[in-house]
Amino acid sequence: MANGDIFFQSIGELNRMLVSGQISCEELTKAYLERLEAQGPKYNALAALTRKSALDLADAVDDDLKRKRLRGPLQGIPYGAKDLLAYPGYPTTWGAKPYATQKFDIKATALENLEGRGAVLVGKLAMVELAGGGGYEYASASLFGPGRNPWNPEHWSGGSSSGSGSAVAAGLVPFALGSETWGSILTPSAYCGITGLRPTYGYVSRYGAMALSWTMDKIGPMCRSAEDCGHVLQVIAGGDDKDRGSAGKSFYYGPEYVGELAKLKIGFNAVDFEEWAEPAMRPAYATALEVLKRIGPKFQVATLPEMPYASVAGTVIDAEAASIFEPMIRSGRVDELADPFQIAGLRTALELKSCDYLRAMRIRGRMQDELTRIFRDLDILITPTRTRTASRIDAPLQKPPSEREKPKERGLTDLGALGNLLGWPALSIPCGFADGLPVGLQLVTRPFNENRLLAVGAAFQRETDWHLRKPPGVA
Amino acid sequence: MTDRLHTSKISRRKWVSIAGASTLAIPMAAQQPANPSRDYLAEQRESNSRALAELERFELQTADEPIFRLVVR
Repeated sequence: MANGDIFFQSIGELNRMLVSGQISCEELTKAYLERLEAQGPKYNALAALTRKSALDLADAVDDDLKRKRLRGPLQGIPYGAKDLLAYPGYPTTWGAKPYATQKFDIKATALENLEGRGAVLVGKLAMVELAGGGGYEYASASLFGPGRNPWNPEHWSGGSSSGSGSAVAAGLVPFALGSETWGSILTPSAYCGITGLRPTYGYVSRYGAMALSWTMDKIGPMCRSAEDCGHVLQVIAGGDDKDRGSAGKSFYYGPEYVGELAKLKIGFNAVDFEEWAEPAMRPAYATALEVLKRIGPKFQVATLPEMPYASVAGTVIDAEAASIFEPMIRSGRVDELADPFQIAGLRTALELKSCDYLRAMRIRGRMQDELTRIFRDLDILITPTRTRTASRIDAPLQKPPSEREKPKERGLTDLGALGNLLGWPALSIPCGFADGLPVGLQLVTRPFNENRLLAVGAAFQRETDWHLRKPPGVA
Repeated sequence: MTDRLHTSKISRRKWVSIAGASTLAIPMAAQQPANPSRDYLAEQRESNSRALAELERFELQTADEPIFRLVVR
């Protein structure tokens, strides 16, 4: 019944097989449970298998399918969830030793929504401890060890949604939920060669999710294609009174309503692709840009003004994380974390003054004005998702300040910090390889315009097959 | 300890702690050994100081208000 190919099918294809009776939800769920249990540890991707609840859900889905009670493309589809999303009956560890045995009796809204459409949670997926809020130095900053990249397990899968990235790339789940405060969906998506969507801030309820930064946290899909991201976002997005940051809006996946892609205007800067990106990545980006130009959008040069993006983002996250984790820090349990640099980061974050935080929040408002101004003439901005491929497991993730390259020209390299500060949506799509490791392309657009990103992403994926590639050595 | 979730309108969450949770798939990984020659606190404070200095250099007007509730537009 289950062969290797089934683990790399799209959501749509799996759902067709289920609806037509070619496979039952129970069979599909068991196949994924076995695969996740057997192979998840190879990548340190698995936090906990949710076997019992998954099989109970699969039974209910099969009953619905038999009675032709159809609930959409996610019905019967197994998936994984980053282990900061609460689900009753299983630990929700936040990837951190102080919370290793923590359990909640509530279900995160995003997971509730997926269950309502018949999706089946098969596992909680590993993550960087506390989503890396204190600033971590090594890939081993996790209760579960360093996330290993299916394309080369001696390299990092990226973080903080490390398990979500590697599980999707290795075909251990058809899709996963990750979260992003600053880079944590897009980075593992780029490093693992999958498609990740960071939705507009407030689109997806954070009820039941660990908070790292109230004004910057977002939950989003990590999938094998832009189309699959669209299907998942439609289910998980929506207003929720239980989340004070909820935008109160639903999302309907409809890329066909974006209109002609040839009428879109894409802003880019050559310096990002030709100088900031590692040399080995540049051919992949050159080809990707040619493909995008063939699809039709018009290109024009864009640059971000000189502003302290990283310092603002860092100060906001530090201040909010310090408040959120204050009891853990003051109790001393912070010393149980895996990464000494992160421990120090959380401790010193408590030293930030309110005027520092407020200053950052005031500059944030000016940044919002600037990006809105840039987008008066543009529809999408594109950059490399990351300017380096996945680092080795044992390498420090950031070079010491004295060795960091200074920018030769600004380009759009700060779009990661800026996009997250302002809560604008972004998509990372695989666009090639460099020395055997995946390369990702980032697209950013205005709030609540995810269909625009997904339309361009899907068009790119019709012209290329990077998103269909399977890591070597993965059965 | 307080477990801070996005539970803003719901009273403090009860949580159940079960020692040796049997559903944990992976043994706890070893802690990254601290480098005794490094002063991590000093490094983080230095990093924070640099960031705050950069914020200080950015000229603000009285009209620049902080965004408390992120208005995504």
